[in-house]
Amino acid sequence: MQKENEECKKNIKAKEVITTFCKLLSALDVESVPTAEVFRRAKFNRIDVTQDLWCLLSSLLMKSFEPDCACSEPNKLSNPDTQLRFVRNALWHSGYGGWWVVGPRACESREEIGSRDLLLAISWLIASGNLEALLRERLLQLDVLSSAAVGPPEKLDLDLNGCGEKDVRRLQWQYGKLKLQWRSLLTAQQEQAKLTDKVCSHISSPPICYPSAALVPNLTGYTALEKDLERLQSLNGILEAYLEWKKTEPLFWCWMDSVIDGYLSDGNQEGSMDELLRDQVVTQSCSHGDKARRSVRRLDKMLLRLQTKHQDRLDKCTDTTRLSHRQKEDAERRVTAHLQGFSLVNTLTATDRGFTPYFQDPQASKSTSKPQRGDSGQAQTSGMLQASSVLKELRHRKAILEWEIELLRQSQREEMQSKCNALEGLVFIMPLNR
Amino acid sequence: MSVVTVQLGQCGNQIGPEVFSTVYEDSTGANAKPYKQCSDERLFRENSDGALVARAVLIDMEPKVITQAIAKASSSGKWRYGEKSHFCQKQGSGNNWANGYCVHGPQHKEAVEDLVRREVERCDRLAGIFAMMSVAGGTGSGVGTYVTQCLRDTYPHSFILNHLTWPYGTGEVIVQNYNSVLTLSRLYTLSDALVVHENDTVHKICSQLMNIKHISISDLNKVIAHQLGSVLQPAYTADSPVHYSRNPIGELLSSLVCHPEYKLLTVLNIPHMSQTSLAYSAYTWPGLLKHLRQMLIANARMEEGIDWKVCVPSRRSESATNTQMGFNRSLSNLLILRGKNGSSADVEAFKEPGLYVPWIPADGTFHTWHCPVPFSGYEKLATLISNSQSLLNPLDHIVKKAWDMFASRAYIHQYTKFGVSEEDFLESFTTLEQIVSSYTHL
Repeated sequence: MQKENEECKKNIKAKEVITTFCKLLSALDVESVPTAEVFRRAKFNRIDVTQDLWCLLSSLLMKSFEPDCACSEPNKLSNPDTQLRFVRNALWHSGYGGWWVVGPRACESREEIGSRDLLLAISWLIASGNLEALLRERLLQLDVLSSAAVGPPEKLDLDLNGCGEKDVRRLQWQYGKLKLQWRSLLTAQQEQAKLTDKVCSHISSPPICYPSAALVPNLTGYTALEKDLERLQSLNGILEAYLEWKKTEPLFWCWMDSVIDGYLSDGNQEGSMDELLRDQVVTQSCSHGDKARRSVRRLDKMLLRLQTKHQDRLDKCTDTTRLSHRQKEDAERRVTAHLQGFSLVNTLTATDRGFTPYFQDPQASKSTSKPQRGDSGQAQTSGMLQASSVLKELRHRKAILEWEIELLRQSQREEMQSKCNALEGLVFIMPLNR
Repeated sequence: MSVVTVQLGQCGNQIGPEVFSTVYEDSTGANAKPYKQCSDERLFRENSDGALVARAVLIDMEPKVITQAIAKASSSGKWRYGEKSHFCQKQGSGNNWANGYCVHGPQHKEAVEDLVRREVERCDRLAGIFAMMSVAGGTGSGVGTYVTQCLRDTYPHSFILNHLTWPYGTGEVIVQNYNSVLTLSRLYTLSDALVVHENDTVHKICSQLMNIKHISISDLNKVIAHQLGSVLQPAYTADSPVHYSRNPIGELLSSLVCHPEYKLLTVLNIPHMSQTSLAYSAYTWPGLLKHLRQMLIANARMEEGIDWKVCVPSRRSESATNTQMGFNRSLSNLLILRGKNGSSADVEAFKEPGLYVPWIPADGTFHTWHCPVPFSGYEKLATLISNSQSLLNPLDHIVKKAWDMFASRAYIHQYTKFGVSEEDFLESFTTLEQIVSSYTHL
């Protein structure tokens, strides 16, 4: 009973948190923002909310990619296939690695993608700072008070490959300039804050409140001013919504954790371990706003992927059972030729027997009681060696040879010296030790 | 947009009031309202009685000079210092940098910081902190360095510009080179830029251009104040071509001192003359700028005695020989033209790439500000603030003399007893050698 109550509380909280999130999205002018209920249903992978989430995801992505791709036409996206392609490409571009975006199972039809998958993708976008980017953009559009920006930084004509001292100095100069400009902007901002505060306290004394609708009638006729006021008010709205969201953000991620848990426990086991791990890492990284930690996770993910790939490859290499008999023979012949090449160079010792390579069957190595090639197989393996032991043997032989050479050299040197000493009137100076 | 001035020691407290007077007289006499307003907001504030009060903090370890400055300002009836914006003690620093830096500075840290903070809080926008001091004495240099350090800690992102007066080469104080070395090496890392006036140069301007027979400290200070005033007064800049710039110090710094190794600035003014001959003079912009350019490349500090033989080397390979020929290479220059038609004057000659080091982007080397309002009765006035090799020789001279003394350990005990060790000296020497070498190899 108590547990149920807690659950209930949690749910209410989650709903509030998601509502805050939706409010922020609406304030940021994102289109087709669904209700909190849609998110809740998406957690359980309900099909009926998929369309809503598709719309939200694509409009979120449109917002952030709009400035970059002038060619994209919004009305074209009404076509589900185009929408899917756009969303997938955009997600891939923002670094999302969900199963339906990258990898062999990246799907071509929308039916396979559940609402929970979409929810995870949305949370990825939030975690990777898309909200802040949108906020920044809106801020630049609406902020009438901020002084004109200094303009884009000058273009650097640097050849980074052949970077000389001059280029370093030039960079240092430009860096110093940027720093100074940043400080200028900072003071401008401080001034702005101070002046805004002054204006506010001036207008609304004695009762302390911000200039609200009550003051607007006085300004009729000043359409420009009115517009500015409107912009400032909507800016305030956005900032307030963002603040509210920031306060509740940790709770949102707790909720997302439960979504991920659900995702992992349901139907996603059939995917290969590789994919599962990858998705897990992706979603885990979402639940931490911390940038550094995120990048560490990303590295982890890469490492895991590499390891699994490596494992794959190793398996392929050692799994000789898949090779046909002819292929095996072929390979064995090649290695024999190679090893013979070695032994030809090194044929000195009488102990040289020559080697015959032989693929070791994995099963045979694990359980010797199961000879694969019948009776003759056992006998053969005893006379054959693995490549690694061949290498070891060769290295050992090389060391012996080197030692022999050194001995020979030494003795010849001594011989030469004794001969030279026998010659009268000749002083023999030894060459430097090599 | 306001600048808070910090006057430190005897020198700072003597030049400070001259600067405020010059600026006040200039903007009041200019008969241009926006100019006056901007100038007033920049350096003054209004107190409750409506009187103009300098945005300044006065600091000295002895009361004499401060008392004089305050009295002089209030007796002018035009502007005054804030009633509680000074700090002084009974006992000076005895021309000992260590005494100022290690003893007086830390002792009065809180009081001084409090004064500056109050002044800073009165600004809507702190455009920068302008600290004025000499490098030779004890209070200005020692306490001044300490105060600059505190200011840097308190206002890490604000612009801090130090004005330094360099002593006569012949010597005013026996340990002046020690004090200079210790001050310069520390300020170089703390301050955003060091604007330098050498007493020798200013003295020459007084005697040769102003025709003053018996030159007093006050005469020198007036010349310095005149030059600083022409920099600090309102002007149109690249970032603010229609309104007077609200970020004068920031713009000055970002056009001149973006590289942390090069922070030494000199000021060149043309023309310079006595008030009596002003009325009889007529100048053209091309004439003035031609002279100014030659002053720059031949490293002449005034329009008389310019070596016209020095020219810009045509190829980089010639630079070595031209250094010996007296060519003065610049990193960056800022030209301020005050007077009629200054905006249309032809300044192309200053943009020649040969004047500058090759590694600074071409659009970063030269900037112009202008203002149609004539400055201080000068119908036309050109001021050039330059980050160039011109201070190389005097700096080298200071370092060498100080090193000679240090090599024989002369007067070192005076410093060690206050806590400045020989290692501190060595560190300072290293820093300055590095600066000398940086400027030499431009």
